[in-house]
Amino acid sequence: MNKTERNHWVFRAHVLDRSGALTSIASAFSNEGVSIDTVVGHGSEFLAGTDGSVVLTFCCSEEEKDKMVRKVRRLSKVTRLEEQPYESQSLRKSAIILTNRELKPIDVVGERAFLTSELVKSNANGWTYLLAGSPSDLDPVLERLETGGIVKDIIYSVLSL
Amino acid sequence: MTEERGLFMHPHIDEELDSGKRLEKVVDLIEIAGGLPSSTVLVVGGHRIEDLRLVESARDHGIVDRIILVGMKNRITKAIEEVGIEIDQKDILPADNDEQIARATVEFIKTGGVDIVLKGAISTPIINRNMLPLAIRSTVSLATVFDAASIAGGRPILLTDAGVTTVCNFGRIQDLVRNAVDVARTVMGIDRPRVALLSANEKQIPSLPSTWIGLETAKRSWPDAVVCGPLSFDLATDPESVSIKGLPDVPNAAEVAGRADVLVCPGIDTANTLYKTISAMNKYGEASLASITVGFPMPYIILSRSDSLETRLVSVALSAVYVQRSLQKHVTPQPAAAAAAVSKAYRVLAVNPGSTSMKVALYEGDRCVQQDEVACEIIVGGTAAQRNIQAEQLTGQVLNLLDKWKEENIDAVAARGGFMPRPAEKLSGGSYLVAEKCDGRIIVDETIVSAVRDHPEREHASNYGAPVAAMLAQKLVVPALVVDPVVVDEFSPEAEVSGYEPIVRRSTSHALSIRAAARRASQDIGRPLEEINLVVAHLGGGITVAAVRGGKIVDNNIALLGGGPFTPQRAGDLPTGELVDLCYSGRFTRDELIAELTKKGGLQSYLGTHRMEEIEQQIAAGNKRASLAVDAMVYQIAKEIGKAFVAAGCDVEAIVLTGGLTYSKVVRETLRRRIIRLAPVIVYAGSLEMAALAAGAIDMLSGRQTPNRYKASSSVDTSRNIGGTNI
Repeated sequence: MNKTERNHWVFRAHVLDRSGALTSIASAFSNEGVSIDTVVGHGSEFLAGTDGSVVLTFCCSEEEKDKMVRKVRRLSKVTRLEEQPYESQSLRKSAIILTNRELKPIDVVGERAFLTSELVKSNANGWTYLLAGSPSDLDPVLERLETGGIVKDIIYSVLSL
Repeated sequence: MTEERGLFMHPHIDEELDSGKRLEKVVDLIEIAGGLPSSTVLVVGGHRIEDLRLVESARDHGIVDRIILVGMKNRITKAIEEVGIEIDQKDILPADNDEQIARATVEFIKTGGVDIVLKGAISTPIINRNMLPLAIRSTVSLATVFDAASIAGGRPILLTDAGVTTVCNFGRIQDLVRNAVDVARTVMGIDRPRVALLSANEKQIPSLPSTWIGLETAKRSWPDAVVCGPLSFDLATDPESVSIKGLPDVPNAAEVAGRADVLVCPGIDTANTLYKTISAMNKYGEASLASITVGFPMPYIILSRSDSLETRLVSVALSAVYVQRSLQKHVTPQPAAAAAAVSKAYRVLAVNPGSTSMKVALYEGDRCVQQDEVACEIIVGGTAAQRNIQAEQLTGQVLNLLDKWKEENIDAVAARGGFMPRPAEKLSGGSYLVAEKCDGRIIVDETIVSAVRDHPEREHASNYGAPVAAMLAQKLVVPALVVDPVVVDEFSPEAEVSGYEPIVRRSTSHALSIRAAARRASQDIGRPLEEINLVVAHLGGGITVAAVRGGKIVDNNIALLGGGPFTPQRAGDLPTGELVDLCYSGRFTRDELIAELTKKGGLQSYLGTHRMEEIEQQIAAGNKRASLAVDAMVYQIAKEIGKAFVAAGCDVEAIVLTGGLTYSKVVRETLRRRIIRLAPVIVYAGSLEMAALAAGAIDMLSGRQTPNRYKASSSVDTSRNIGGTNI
């Protein structure tokens, strides 16, 4: 991987006081000019004062990502940090989508593997599916379905480790 | 080095005695500041895009709520539009160039209401020159709080001074310690910070000043800190290095070595190099740092153009935490007992007779409520009866003034002490009782009154101080005293030796002014007078440069014809051979020669005038002779200060300048440039004498000090009376 080429990354930070930690993590990213794409809080409740983990995704070069690793690890509210490329097969992403037709197996072929797909319900509005797979497989599928006018709505999507 | 290899332990390294929560990481200051009341920030030269983005970010974090921009209005308006920041129009202070921007800033600061000043797009020398008169401490310094993964386990440490203090002499280092301890306590939440005075070596090396400055500083008592030095960087910050090398044999090593909270560098070069190293680590993501300039009424932020955005934002947060917590400390109500102790404002009548006029002032506590200078012609010499008549006339003039002021209810009278004959034991500094109140009656101490009136060591207008005070005491039925007479003599034994056995050096000085300036400097520095050494120069018609050690004037030039620098009217030191020839030239009688050397010497002899306003006008008009004469006078004063610096032991906290000559900008600034390398320079322009007289009486009335009693020598040597002179 080229050190200066921009890539998509995922951080999972184990933190004390999640809302405080989010502030300092967001501040660290902002001060380095790196934009956070998505933030997900893990735990039973995403409340101030509770410990748990925070997952966030962002785009930057590997060099910048390494710097962010060093900076975020040094924050007082971060107890542990795991980092992975967005393409990592150990990452999971799920989405619930509403389509205007029934999906075919070819529709859910990812870059490396088939997505898990399950029809949740169908009615006059359309077909509701749960899709799951690695983000690098799921994201292109979603993009393809949207571009092809098959997806009426992405009801929910979530990243997990 | 103490041999404790392998035994060194820090059993309590994690056990802090701090009352508040200790700062864990420097970037936490952003959140901490956001949780405190918001601050008002003023940006000097407020049209730079990055500064506006910075203060807007600080506002987003809840650190700042009001932003004031000083600068060129059109450029500020354009920048505001570009950044999309909301600024109230009344918070834009228009000014057309850097000088105007600096002046407008200082004027606005004086009105109050500014919590933080941020230097923006303005010339640094111009804004600093305008800001400097606002300084409230003798040293303005830069404190940098940092944490770095590879230093001290990543815990926050304060470093000073990487950017402001260019000359780090002994006194300046003491100030740096004080400023740093203040920031560490306020911002880092450490009640008693561990301070390391950095050096290249822990042993005393004469050619390495940081080793002896570090040791002497560490030996002093520091109530709010544990100070250790000299220490090398590794022994200050790394417990493992201490384990390997052992505890250094320097004061407080057991408490500070390996776990210092504050690093005081021996000079700006070391501090700046460390700062830049930490900055480089910050850019790699391994360190965070923030800086604050202290010594002004509010934090002043000067950011480097190469500072990261994080450093800039955390510096604003650091300043906000410092100012808001300082405000919280200051509003803490005083204990009732302390408030009661200062509630009584004694009213003191201060009297200072001079040869052509007499200064009279009324003080209520430390506040001067009335003052005047009445013309009078004091005739020195004469018989005892004539002197008594003169004293009665002066007393009448003071009483008339009281009538004119419509002032009553005086608690005491304080007067300037004169040339009272020196008793067998040397006169120590302080107050001498002239009249006391017993059972509603006033009892005058005739010993001191008659001694100074009838048998003074030398004739001088100030000899009327005690007789006038005694008469006023009887009229007003209040006690009276004289304060720090000119013959106060606290010389060290070696200072008494002149170099010619029959002549003994006896102190004659502006003791009142010197001791008042020393007391005030001790208050401003924040250390007891007994614990510090100062050089104090009274620069007036006469000049005394004194070495003050532990509150005592241990040496000075003999201000009256005894040498030292020349003054506006006095000749000062003269080559002995030529002086002897002059004595025997037949041109002068003894009294004429004394008058010649005390009234027609100095600047008067070179320029035909001794008035500094006139001389400064001559210099401004290009008069090179005037310029050279003033330069030479300043040069001689600086040399005398150098002598006093050595007499004070070289570990001088500050050089204090006072007296009327300090009003002269030429004298003040050229002198400051010549001596700044020795110690910090504090200037109290004008005279402190009247306030010092009042303070002496208040100390007596409040019971803080018991006045001395003058004991005359069994044989008063009147043969030393050499006629009318000035001091």
